[in-house]
Amino acid sequence: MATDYLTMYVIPLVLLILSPFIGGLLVGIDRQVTARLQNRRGPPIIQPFYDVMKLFGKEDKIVNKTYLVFGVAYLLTVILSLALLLFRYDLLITTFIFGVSFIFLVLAGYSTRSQFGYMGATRELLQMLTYEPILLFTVFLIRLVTGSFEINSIFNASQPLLYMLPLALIAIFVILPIKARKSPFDIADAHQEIAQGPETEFSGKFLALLYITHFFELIFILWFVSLFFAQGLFFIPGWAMQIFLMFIAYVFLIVIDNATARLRVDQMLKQVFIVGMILLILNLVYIIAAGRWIA
Amino acid sequence: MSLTELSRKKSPWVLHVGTGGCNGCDLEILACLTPRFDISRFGVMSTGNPKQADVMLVVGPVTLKYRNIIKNLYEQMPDPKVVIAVGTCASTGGIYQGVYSTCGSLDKVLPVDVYVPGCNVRPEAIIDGLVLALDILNEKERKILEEKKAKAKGAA
Repeated sequence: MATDYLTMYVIPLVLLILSPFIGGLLVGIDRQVTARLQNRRGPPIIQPFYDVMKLFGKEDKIVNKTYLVFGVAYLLTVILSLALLLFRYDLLITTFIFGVSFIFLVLAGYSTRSQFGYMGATRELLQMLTYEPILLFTVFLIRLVTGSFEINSIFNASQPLLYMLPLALIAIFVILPIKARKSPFDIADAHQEIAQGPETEFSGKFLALLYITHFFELIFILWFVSLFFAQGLFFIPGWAMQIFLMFIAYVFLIVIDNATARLRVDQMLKQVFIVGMILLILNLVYIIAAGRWIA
Repeated sequence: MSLTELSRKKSPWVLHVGTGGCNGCDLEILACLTPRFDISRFGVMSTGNPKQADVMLVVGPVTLKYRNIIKNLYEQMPDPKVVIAVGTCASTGGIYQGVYSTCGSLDKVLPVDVYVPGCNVRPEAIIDGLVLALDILNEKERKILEEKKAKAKGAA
């Protein structure tokens, strides 16, 4: 009973409080590793925290009040979706709320009335159009295998999701760089082309809030990937396998970020959608053929 | 030194503005970002967005057509902000001194905090100028805060 209480409430709460710090450190390590790959020294690991602290000490140049409201709503919805994921709520609702957070960012971009914000918001919407069907299809497949949308049923299942959904995990890996805003899919905030996309008009404290939101987002997507191996393997406990899967996803993100160039929006839409959907449909056929689905 | 001031020194974001010179100093600024000099180890990030920048690196004599644009860029940068004139052209006009199509030098348009001479400037000199600018950044913020306090006292 006591361990139940611990895994259901205490550990998620601690993780939720620590997640901006862990996310910031992960971003810092990412920058350091990227620099080392390019033969540079690179900034210190705690550089993202310096950036955020500095931004809190700067003047706010505000265009209008609407986009600030949407920016803060973006932060709050991302925190809410991460909390729902950590406290093992309904997976479908969690992914929908995560989608809503993107919508708030898009609205923030549109309401700044600047060309860069407008263009970035449009690209952000197209990115959403690409990854959201694949994400929802994966959630549907998880429901098919475990018999429930509850995240708890994933943890209580007899075998890890990976054994039944290997191709779905690959599809998730394909859309991973979109959600982490990394190359080749860093189309929405391509800072060489369109300033910072929807974040162009943000400055000072509100830009710092967006940075913190990105830390939360990184933790969210890593935790989502880790759901695929929640059970133990031989003598390795479940949480160790989860951390291992998160580590693989994180390294994958860094390597892909450094190895590829940015795609155009239409290229991304075609390639990701076709590859992801074929993988998922093959996985669906496999589940039905194996007869492992629960109505 | 407070935490904000420390982090302000550790993460200057740079806006690189070319105002119509010969592009020599632009290349030296880009050389600063390469593995040999790598200013990103001081936390420097090159942004193309004045709203998120702290330091403005201006290269070249300001042409008349560019005068309003650079004023606009300067006003869009949030306080505290620092302007660095990189190269002889931006500092004094250089070989463009007295040409009808330029303003002469940068300090006739904007308040300049640090001058980095050289034609072309060495990347080491740019890094040196940046380090000087970081101290000025904190001094400026202190001055702004003092002015605010004085204003509040005057109002009360």
